[in-house]
Amino acid sequence: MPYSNTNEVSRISDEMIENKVAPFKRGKQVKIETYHSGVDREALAKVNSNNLKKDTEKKFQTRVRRDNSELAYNSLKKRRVYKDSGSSSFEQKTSPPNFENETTSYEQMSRNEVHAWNDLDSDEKDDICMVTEYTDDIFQHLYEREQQTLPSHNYLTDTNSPSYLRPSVRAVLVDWLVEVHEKFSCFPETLYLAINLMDRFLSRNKATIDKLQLVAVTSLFIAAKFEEIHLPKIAEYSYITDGAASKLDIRRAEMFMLTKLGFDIGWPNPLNFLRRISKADNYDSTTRNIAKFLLEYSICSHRYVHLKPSLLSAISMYISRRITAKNDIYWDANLKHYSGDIDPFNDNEFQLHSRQLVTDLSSPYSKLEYLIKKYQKRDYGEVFYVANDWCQQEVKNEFTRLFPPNIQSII
Amino acid sequence: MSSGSQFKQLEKLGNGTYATVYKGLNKTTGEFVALKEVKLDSEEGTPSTAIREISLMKELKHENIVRLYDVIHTENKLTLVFEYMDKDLKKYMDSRTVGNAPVGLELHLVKYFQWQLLEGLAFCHENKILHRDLKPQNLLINKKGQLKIGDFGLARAFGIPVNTFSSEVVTLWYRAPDVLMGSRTYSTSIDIWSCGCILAEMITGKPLFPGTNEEEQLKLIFETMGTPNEQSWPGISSLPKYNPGFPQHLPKNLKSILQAHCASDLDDTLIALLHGLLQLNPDMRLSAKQALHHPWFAEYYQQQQQ
Repeated sequence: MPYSNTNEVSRISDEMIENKVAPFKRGKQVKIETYHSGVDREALAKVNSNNLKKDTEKKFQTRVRRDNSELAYNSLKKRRVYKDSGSSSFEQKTSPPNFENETTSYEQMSRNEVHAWNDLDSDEKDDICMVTEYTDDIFQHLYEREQQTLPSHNYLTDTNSPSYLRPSVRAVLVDWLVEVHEKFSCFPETLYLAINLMDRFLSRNKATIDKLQLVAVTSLFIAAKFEEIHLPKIAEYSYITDGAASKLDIRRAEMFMLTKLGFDIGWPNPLNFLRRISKADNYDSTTRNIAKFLLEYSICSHRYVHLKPSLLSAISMYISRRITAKNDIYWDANLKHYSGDIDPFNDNEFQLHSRQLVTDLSSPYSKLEYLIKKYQKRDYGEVFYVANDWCQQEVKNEFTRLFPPNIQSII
Repeated sequence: MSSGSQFKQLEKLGNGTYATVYKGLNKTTGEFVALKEVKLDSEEGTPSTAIREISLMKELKHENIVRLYDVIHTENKLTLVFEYMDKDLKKYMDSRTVGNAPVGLELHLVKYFQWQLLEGLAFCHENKILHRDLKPQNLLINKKGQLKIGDFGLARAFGIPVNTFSSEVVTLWYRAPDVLMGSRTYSTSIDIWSCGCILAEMITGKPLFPGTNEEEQLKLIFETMGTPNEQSWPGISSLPKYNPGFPQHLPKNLKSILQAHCASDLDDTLIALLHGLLQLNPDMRLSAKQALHHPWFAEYYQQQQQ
């Protein structure tokens, strides 16, 4: 089949945006081992779509090869998995922090606030990887860019949006991306970029149910080309969809998405912000590993699609610091500075989203099962359990450790 | 995206890293443009180089970086519409060759070009972008004496800390010794080494280290700059392609080497700047920002402050 002609873009757009394509082809349905006994993914994937009329309602599902086939694993051999150095083991505290102390600690925090932040970059002057000289310029640029590259709105919670998509449908897509991304051993940055590209595209363009998996796999295809050194082959992407997206489909969708996104692919990856804040936390690896899970969960969740990566990173670090409770300081001038001037105690939005994220994590969304499974693994420090336990207690205790009760009055 | 028929394709200007470049005429405005044609891969689709170049150049708006105006998709290719520049620095220097003898540029022009190169590069680095392929062919100039960095086909954005990258970057002659020895944690310093090589080349009209393979490239560098060791460059012995048996050389006098091919007198501040850019140890190399504050450029930054 000839790949394209000058009408290519408009023709793909018809296919992708209007609902007049051949019905979704059903492939073999594969049962998946799940982290909650008794729930299988097939059942989770039974999502009635609002986009289709009652009589044409179909199950939404993603298709993925799960056998350890040669094709999917060839790429692994040549690719290295990015791992943060430092131990990821977490020693769970047996007793919760003493609440009496927390009043003082907040006062301490307020006192710290008075002082200026310290220049922590200068300690790293000799490490060329930290490019200290340009750090301030770079972050100023990133704070501007993150505003420009946000999805136009939260198309998952705004039911009046022309591009409204059911949160459960996106969850299945995102969870599938998490899985494929891990299979391909890509950098963590690539997954976050893929999700950002998908959200930016879907918040402005309505895609039919049967094209959603194509959008998801193409987002990863593009993100990998931007971030990765060794690229998985297009055949591997097509293969991993188990026939749902052909190589030709992916090539056409790639050009269509690139065009719709104006080739504006560069995006301030949240991990840049997380590492930046971690600097003001002495790069504590336990705290950062838990924060990475919280961050990834918030990116995969439908609730925070419209929030800036720097805010999500700060929320993740804040909650993680409460979970590890390694010191009594809730937030200080350094954390404030290195998070891009975020002050949790004078920021209602911050508190609202933090409570929401803790609530979410106390009973994680069942459709993000692969994500949960990933963070139950040893490779990721099994941080899921710690975070989940803590969040359950917090919800029970009405967030008294997250934001101590006296804080309201101080604000 | 605009339509392809808006531009008339004129003569071929050259081949880039992954594309062919033509001169073009914007029929609406009557302006010349450079049209860079990128073939889409019949299997893998849009080349990653094109995706990076387009998206990175959209972020980079600076007077010393070639401006990307538009991208046009037709059939099996992408056409990138760039600001038109008269020549690249390589062609310009070649045009001055007398017989077989290369001739360097006048020193005031060398200084003006180097200043603009560093201004453009500092802007890239502030925007977390590494160029990774600086060489005279990728520096475009016009009749007004402006210099702009072009061809971001090998560029990429870096996170902080910088992730490990491919070591297969930068045209051999301008490739830094740390990268030649297989370092993958290079950063902004990789572009600075290239700037040093370009500066020397502008002075003499001939490439500073014209190696034919990686081994010879390192040999040429060490012959002039001296063979580094663990004392002069802590950590060098852990680089993948470090060889303790490298032939030992003492640093030569850079000034006399260059002076032999340059008609005007080279002053010591220029040589000092060259040494700052051509430090073997990447940690010791100047940054673009620091280089812009080097005494050799005093007349420029003093002018800027006024």
